[in-house]
Amino acid sequence: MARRMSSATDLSFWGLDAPLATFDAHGPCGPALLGARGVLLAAAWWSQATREAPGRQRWIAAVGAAFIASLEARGLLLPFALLSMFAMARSPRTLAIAAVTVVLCFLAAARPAPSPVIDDLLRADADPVALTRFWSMRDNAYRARFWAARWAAAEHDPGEGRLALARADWALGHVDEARRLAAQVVAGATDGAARQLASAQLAAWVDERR
Amino acid sequence: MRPGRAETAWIAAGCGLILTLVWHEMAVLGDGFWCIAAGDFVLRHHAFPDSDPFSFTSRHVPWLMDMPAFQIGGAWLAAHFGLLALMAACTLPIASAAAILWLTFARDTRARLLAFPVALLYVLVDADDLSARGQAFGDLGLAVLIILLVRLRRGRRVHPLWPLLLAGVWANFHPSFVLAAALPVAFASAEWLEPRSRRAPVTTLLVFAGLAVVGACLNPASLLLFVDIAELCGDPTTARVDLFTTPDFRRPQWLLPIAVALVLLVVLARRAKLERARADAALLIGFVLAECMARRYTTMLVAFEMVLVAEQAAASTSRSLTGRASVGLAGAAAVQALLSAGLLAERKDPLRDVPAESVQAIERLGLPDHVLSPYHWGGYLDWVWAGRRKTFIDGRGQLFSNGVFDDAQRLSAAAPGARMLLDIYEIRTVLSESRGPLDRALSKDDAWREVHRDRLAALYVRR
Repeated sequence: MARRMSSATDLSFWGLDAPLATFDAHGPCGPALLGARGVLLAAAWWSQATREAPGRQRWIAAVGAAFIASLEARGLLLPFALLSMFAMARSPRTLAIAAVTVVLCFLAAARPAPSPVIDDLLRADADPVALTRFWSMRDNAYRARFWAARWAAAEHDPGEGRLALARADWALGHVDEARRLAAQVVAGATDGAARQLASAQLAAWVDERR
Repeated sequence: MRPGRAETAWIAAGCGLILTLVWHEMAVLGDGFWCIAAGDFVLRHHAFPDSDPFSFTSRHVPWLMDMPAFQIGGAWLAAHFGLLALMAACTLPIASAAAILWLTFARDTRARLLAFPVALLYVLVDADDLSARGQAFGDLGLAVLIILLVRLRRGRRVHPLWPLLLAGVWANFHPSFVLAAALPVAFASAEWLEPRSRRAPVTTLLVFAGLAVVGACLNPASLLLFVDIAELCGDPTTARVDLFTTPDFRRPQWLLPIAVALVLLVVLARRAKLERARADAALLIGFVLAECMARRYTTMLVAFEMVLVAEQAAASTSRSLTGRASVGLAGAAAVQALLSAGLLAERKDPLRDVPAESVQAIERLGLPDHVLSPYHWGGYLDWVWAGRRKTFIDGRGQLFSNGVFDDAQRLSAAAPGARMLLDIYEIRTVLSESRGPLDRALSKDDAWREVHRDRLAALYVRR
């Protein structure tokens, strides 16, 4: 299935593909960007609050406002990051720890993310054999049946494709159709292995019905 | 400080307003319906089903009843006293959660006054999602848990039966019981930020978590529930259910809790050298991030905020009420009582959000099986049809992680490929949202014929 590789060169990685959109923690690199926001906010609070410097509450209020703004508009992540780093400027240790943690967040995000929706129906180069197996494994007999029908239609002689179609039909309760297809494989398959599998399947179905 | 008469009246009116606000927002949505459908099945057959009796597309996995007390109890209540009784039964725990969080730590007038708007916010953040389901009892469990944990952090004694009982009961009502084990660990972790001399007893918090795990195992499904919840959390469909998506930060109800948290961070910075301020700040930021992940967790943030607001207000010098303030409170009590009466007078229809008329039309017109319906109506169909007709999808997301969840979304949006999906799933009847994308697409499709339309839904069958 199609997989999307996030990379630091993508605008979406930084939330800049739609800078005015609200933050989405489930979007590309969402968890990393959320983690980074959390680390920066916590580190800014820590460096200001524990120092007991005058004006610390104003700093924290400013960083907090920038945090909210970065949720309202993704593109404001950078000003928030800069402001929080300014707030940490007098605590080099906190700043270093925060920077390392943020980098780790992004490294963790820069790995392949699975595509949320499987768009096999619209792909011209879809492989019916692989997709029949994929959907059978995912326990979706309707989808498996759809691709098995394409696989079977492409077969010259009745073979594994028709047997896969028979199995999907059986799973969907089309018992007679399943038996008819499996019997076609037993009778007409040139592939001995497919014939054997179809015979075994028919016998198993007889047992199952008992 | 003991409240005077005016304040007592105001507190009572405040509790009344919380209760009636919850009642006003309460509905029965998909999740509530599939829960009581499962409970009905158990009551009818006196046994748990082996496999899913409701849907024709769900994964073939062993059946697990993950909220037995709510599902069976709710089904019994709805069968004997109607859906309104179920709604009332779910209103009480949510209102109780808000009220006890508000009043337990707000020890004086000032604290109660400051914490009251947060208590109202607690109800309003959940307004879109308030529904008669196990979560209502989960909210009460969370409130009790937070109160117990705060007591432990203050070095107060909590009887070991509390975690056992709390998690034991909670596990039978809602999967959020895992918080009874997870939150004490989070609280204990936050304590490490405090200097050793000011640290709350971490071991006690960890023992609490352990006892909660033991308590949670005292239920019919025992350890299986933990496995189920781990699967649920890891399931990609969970993150796409609206409750578990990132909230829309442009809506005040979801922005306000974060704003309150940031105000509290500013206040906590003032007393960072005092007890628990660092741990409180860490927990607060953790809860803010949780809300950013999923709007469902906003109640957790607001619950903790209520405790902090009450504590911060109580930490300030309290002044006794002047006569004028008493009059103010009495006036506020009167306004709150009037508002409550208004909310209570509203006529509630438990079937307000579900296509009851269309479902009757399906039976009346004898429309064929394999009915397609949107995700959020599936639970209602489960309940009405009780397995007689099977549904396409319902709110039990992890049963539909076999691609059906994605396909249901594609179908509802009438996205490219939707027509093929109607054939693939052998759909013969479509129950679609009136004037939704699928309704619009089918109204122009010669292969489908409209046979019914009402306030909420439209029905189509193949020509």
